[in-house]
Amino acid sequence: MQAKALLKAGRGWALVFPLTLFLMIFYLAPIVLMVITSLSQAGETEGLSWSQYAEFFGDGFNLKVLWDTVWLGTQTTIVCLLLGYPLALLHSRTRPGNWRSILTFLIVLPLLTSAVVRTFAWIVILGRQGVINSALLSLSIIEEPLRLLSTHHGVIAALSQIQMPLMILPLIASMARLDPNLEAASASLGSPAWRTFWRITFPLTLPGIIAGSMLVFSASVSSFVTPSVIGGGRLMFMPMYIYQQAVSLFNYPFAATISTVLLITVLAVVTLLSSLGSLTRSYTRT
Amino acid sequence: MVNRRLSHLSRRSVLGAGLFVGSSMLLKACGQSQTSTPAPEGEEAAASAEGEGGAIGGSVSAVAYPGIWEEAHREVVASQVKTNQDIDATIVPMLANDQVAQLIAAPDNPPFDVCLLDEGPFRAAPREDILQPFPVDMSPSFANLFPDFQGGEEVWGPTVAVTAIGIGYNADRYESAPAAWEEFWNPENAGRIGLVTMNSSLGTAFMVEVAKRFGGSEADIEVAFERIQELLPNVAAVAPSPGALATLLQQGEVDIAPVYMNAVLSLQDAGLNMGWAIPEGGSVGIRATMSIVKNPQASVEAAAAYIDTVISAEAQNVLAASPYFFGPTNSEVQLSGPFEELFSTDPQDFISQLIYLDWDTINLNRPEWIERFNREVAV
Amino acid sequence: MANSTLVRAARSPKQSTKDWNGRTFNWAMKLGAFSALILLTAPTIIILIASFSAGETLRFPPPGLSIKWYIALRELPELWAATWNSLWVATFTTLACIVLGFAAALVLTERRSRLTQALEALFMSPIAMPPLSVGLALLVFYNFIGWRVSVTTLVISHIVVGVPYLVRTILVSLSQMDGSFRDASASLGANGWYTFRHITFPLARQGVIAGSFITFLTSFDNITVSLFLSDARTQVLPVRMLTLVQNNLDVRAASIAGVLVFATATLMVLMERFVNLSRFVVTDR
Repeated sequence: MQAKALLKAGRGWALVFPLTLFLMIFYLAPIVLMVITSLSQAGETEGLSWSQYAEFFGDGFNLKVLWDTVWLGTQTTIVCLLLGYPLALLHSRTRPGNWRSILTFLIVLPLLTSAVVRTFAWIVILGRQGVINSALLSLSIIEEPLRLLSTHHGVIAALSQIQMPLMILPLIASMARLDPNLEAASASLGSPAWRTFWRITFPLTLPGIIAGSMLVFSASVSSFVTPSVIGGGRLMFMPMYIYQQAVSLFNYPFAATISTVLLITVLAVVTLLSSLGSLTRSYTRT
Repeated sequence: MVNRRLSHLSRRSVLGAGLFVGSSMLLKACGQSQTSTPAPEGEEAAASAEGEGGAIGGSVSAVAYPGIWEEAHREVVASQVKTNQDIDATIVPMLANDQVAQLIAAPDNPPFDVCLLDEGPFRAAPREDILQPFPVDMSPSFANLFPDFQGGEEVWGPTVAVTAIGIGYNADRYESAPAAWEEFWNPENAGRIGLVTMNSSLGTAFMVEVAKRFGGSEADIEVAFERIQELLPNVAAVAPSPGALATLLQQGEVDIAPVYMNAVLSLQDAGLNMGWAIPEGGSVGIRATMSIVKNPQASVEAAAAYIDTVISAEAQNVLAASPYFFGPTNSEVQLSGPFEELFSTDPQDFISQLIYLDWDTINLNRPEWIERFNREVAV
Repeated sequence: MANSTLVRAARSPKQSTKDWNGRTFNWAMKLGAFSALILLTAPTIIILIASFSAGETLRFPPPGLSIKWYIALRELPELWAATWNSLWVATFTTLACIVLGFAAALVLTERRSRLTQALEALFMSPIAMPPLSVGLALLVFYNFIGWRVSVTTLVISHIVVGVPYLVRTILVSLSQMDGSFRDASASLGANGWYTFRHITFPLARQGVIAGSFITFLTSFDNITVSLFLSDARTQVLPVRMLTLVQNNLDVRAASIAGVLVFATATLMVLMERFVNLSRFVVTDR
């Protein structure tokens, strides 16, 4: 009887084995190998060293690329939060029904359309003969078309649109768990709207904000298509730098170094935010 | 959400490192037995092919630069090679340096059968390792090429087109055509200039020409880098490839840029008010060569037939006319239209009016220049 | 939608709508929400309108409307080949993810321990990794073990980045299944297979379908991993489209975009109908 139970337990575990093995070989091993490659020495010398990292961090250009990338991710996250939060609120306050379904559809559709398509749309919007410039010109607000493509702000605008669903969806989820009675109680006690918001709604949705920020940040700093197409050749971010070093210059070790730096940056921010997240979670539960 | 336990993960990944190394070694062993079967079918196929009439058949995968090259080779060359030889050609859009990098990375298993290289990358590439000599006897059109374009003694492949570099401009915004590269520095061009990275022949030739205008040479373009620094505040965009630069001109993102003649002429053909001018001192000609790679997947016959089609008078007459306007290398081609206005109806005349750069000298410094350019233009 | 009030407080009798505080709050939130809605939807709408242009170049607004650029798509054989490649890669990826992900999710729902938690973190972590780093790591890895880049390596790589979505949606759908459910079934004498067929699988089915849909689209749309790992002979659609958008910016690129948007939207509506897709997207298990 006991042997049978053990066998059963073992069989239960067996099902998890294929995926675990698969990811160990084709996911963890490659990443470990990439980190080892990044520690290899320049030239044919054997052995591990920090020389690639010394090269990376010893060069102002590389530091600027890293900083620009992190800054881009931060700005995009902030824009997504500022615009996404009200929309998530609207969604959660819309009664389930057709309107709500339409809203969900509009929020999810951009997430599921091709990244190239979404980026392409932004060329049409930001171009000198694009939507924004035509509109401003015909309203005589400007006389000369503005340069919006190939600028940092253009990249932020496009990235914000592309990543916004990643912010909104966790927000909606956290708002769904919000007890409406809390807000109603606060209001009926005479608390003004803004106060209710800052005291009740906002803190209670912090887990959603943090989850969304995490997703938007990591997606933005690692996005490749949008910054390279909208940003052009004069704006350099980490993913494009990796690609250039690996594919055009065939410098795998240095590409691996840049890639590891990016990976660690993302993991650091994710870990930071998620520990903040568990803090707020315990706070919202009490 | 999901990620809060990533910290645990990293510890586990360290613990499991031994397993990975072990499994990697095992896979490596499997991999080696897999790669050790490159079939030298090329020569055999070539030997059996001679003298047989009828279509060759099969398929070939050939590179063309992204943009107008890709379009022209697909619409003209691929369709002719299908009709004449029943060969299914796939066009792979790729820049010259990327092709060389990929060929060096996988010499046993090249990702395409026919490569297309400008002089610079062609002369810099380790040709013996990645290309095979062009089988002249399989190419009836080869004899009609101008002697200069038959590839010299080694014959790695024929020159398939000559493209001219000049100043492309938006004719809505300029009353008269810009006359020299120096005009880029005119204050009226602020915010309108487009450039392309030195990764392309176009970008490199532009920098070399600028250097020459200001006292430099193929060996030393320091002065061009200095002058570019002054120009940067006025530069609207730096494109990653010549095709992308043409796109920027088309979209009105930039109004003036160093571009290939055929890129601008085809935009004119699409109804845009664009102009192209030969700069003072002459227009640089870029000769592009097509070669069969080592260990191609296609038969050498099919690959040779593809290249033969590109250099045939039949294809080049179409490629030299609207809307493609590629400079021909086949002596039987007649030129007309814009070629007549800008240069001549005689291909020989057109070719001799262009100036050619010393790419061997340029190649000595080119990798550093590319890197430096990318850094200096970064905002 | 438009008349819904964002402030619950405003509905209570004590607070009149004249309340300045409530008003500014309402306005601020509405302004934000509508800006966000416009930002989210305008690009898709603009690209759809632009794709029906009758002009020769991509301009907005288009000089006239026609479907000629959709018809012109027929003349791009490489594009169709690339679409076909992408469909195959996405199909194989999804099938493999279903098998691997479903098996793993079964164990994760049945057992809660530190080990399963760690495993779940492992299965989910590819979502958080920069995909370009994963792509480069795999490229270095394949080079190291001597594998050539091919469709197989591409599918393997897509499984790595696609499997988290399936594991997640299956976990969500199985989380409704109480362990007692299965225990009851077992105590009634049903064997494991019977329980699986009649209880576990029907419950998980919606999760499998929704997850397959997302995984399929993720693979079909993947560009960062494919850039490194697709062989030039078997180019995939997104990579092909990127070249097209960068180098021949013409209206055809918009019409391809139009086709993709229509296809995605249709699939989404179908998915919402049959498996209530948003339940899986809007959840924070």
